[in-house]
Amino acid sequence: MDVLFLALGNVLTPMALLTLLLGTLAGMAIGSLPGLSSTMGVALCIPITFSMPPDLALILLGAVYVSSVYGGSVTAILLRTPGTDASIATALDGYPLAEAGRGGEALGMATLASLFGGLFSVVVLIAIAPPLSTVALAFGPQEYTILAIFGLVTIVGVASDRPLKGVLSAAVGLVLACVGLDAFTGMQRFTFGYSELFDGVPLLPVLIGLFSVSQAFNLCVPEGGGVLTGKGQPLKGRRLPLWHDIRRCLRTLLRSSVIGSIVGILPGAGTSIASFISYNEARRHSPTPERFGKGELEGVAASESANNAVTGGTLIPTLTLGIPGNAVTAVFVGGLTIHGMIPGPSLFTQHAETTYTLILSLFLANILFAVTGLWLCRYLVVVTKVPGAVLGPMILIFSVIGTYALRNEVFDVWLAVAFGVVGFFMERWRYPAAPLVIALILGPILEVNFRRSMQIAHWDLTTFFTRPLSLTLCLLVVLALAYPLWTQWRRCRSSSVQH
Amino acid sequence: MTLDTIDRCVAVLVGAMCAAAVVTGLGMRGDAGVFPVIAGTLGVLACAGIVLGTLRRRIPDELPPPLAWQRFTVWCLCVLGLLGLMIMAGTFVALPLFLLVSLRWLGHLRWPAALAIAVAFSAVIYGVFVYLLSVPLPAGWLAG
Repeated sequence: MDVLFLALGNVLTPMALLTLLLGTLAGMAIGSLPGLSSTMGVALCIPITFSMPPDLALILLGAVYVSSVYGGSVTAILLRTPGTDASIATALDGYPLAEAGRGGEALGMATLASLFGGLFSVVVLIAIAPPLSTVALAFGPQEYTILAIFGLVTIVGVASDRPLKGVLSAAVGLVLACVGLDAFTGMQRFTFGYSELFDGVPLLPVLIGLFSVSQAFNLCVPEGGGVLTGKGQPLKGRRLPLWHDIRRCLRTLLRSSVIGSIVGILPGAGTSIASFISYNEARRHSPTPERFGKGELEGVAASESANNAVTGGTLIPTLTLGIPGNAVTAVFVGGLTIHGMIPGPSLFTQHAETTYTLILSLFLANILFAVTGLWLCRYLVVVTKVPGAVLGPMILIFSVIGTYALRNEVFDVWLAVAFGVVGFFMERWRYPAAPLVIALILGPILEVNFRRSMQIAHWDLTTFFTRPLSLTLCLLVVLALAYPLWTQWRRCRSSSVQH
Repeated sequence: MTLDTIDRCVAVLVGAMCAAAVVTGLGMRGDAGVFPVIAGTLGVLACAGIVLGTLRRRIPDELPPPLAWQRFTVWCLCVLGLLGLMIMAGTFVALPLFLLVSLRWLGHLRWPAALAIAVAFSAVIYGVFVYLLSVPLPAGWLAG
């Protein structure tokens, strides 16, 4: 409890509040720009946090993360152009509402639902993360090996509609994770004599390259200069939905927040999955399902509360076990690492104050984006008037300078640009980038713990099945592998029956 | 080129790299090569799966989204020019020039607008990274 009060003191300093406000505004702007993702926003902010104290740095990253997920709803509702993939389901009902002259109400409901989902997930994070980190202290190398495999299996299964491309992406990430001096023997592996690679392929230049530099390419290369439309007009009319509409949606808000938090905890399952599941559940439970898709406030509430509930959920495995569940939390891991904080149980013991500062700042960031959002969101659509070919060079410069600032190495800049080109073509050719990044993070964890397990057990592979915790995790891996196969089999069977 | 053909080319290229990782891993002393062998084998298997999948696929093949090669080339040259100039002439010569050229040729802005944005954005970068964060950005000839 003392730590919580200390953390509260950290969050309520003027500098922290200013950082929180700036992060929230930046996140809302990034989220509302179609084509710019939460991952890119957080990745771009990491170099800026480099010389900040760790608590301020995490406050900034957290604020950008949660508010960018919310920001995506603005353009989804007003332009039917979701700012992030999390808001695709929001556009289904939000845009018809805007067309019917109820855009203000839809934005108000999206804001309230995002606030509800976000706060719910932070409460879940506070309730689950500390006990889970205590359990994680009992983890040995066997458990960490299986946990890393579980993270890889789920991200590969969910990240792509073509799982083999996900496997290939993850395999490339694992091979890249082998680069550098071997932790056990000190042998050089795949360094080609470059001293810059002795510590391995640096994570942050790869992240910035895959998510930010590639986005600069995406914005600048297409004819007409990118994906932005610039059609948005500031709205007039009521800012908030009526009280009886809010009361009608309360059950949906709660259900969607629970779904979002659970989906967030699962590695690999992203915000868009949570919002679609919640949207379908809301339609299934509604007395008027036929109104969904034609302008139903409950649809907006379901999608927005679920996608913001994911934000806290995804941080649970990241902070407690060091297993990032998606690309944004993978970037978060990078942010934590450069401030000397290794994700895992030690965050709640050695760095408890900073960790709770992050969690409480997420709570405040949710309130802050709701307050500023109700006032600003109708005008935020103006940012979509910036052409992609103007925005792209600025993103590239931020990425280049930011990457250089990490270690003052020109090599890192070349690496980021090279991965930017790779990321650009990966997206065009439908290879998911998230498994590569997650594998690059999980690779060293997997290798070190696997080899440690084998040294302890004298290369007896049954060591993974003889400990209760690792056996449970093995069963989870089997389930994670079997579930997609089972659903595919059911889909094939139902289609053959219909045929 | 269709997506299936691209997939096959990517699979062959990445498969060869993964196979090289496996061979190199097998030659490493101690257990240093175990993980490269596992990761490389996984990559080779995935590549084989992709190639077989493209050969057996019954759904019609697709084309990737069209790429404006001319703009792509100009943009790549701009980026290479930025990096080269940053090292040789210094960051604050390279940044405004890069912005000016890319905003004018790719963004189709007028010269005054492109110049104003280039100077203003370079000033923001100077303020944030050099003044506030004290990052020693490459100074190139400026330092000399």
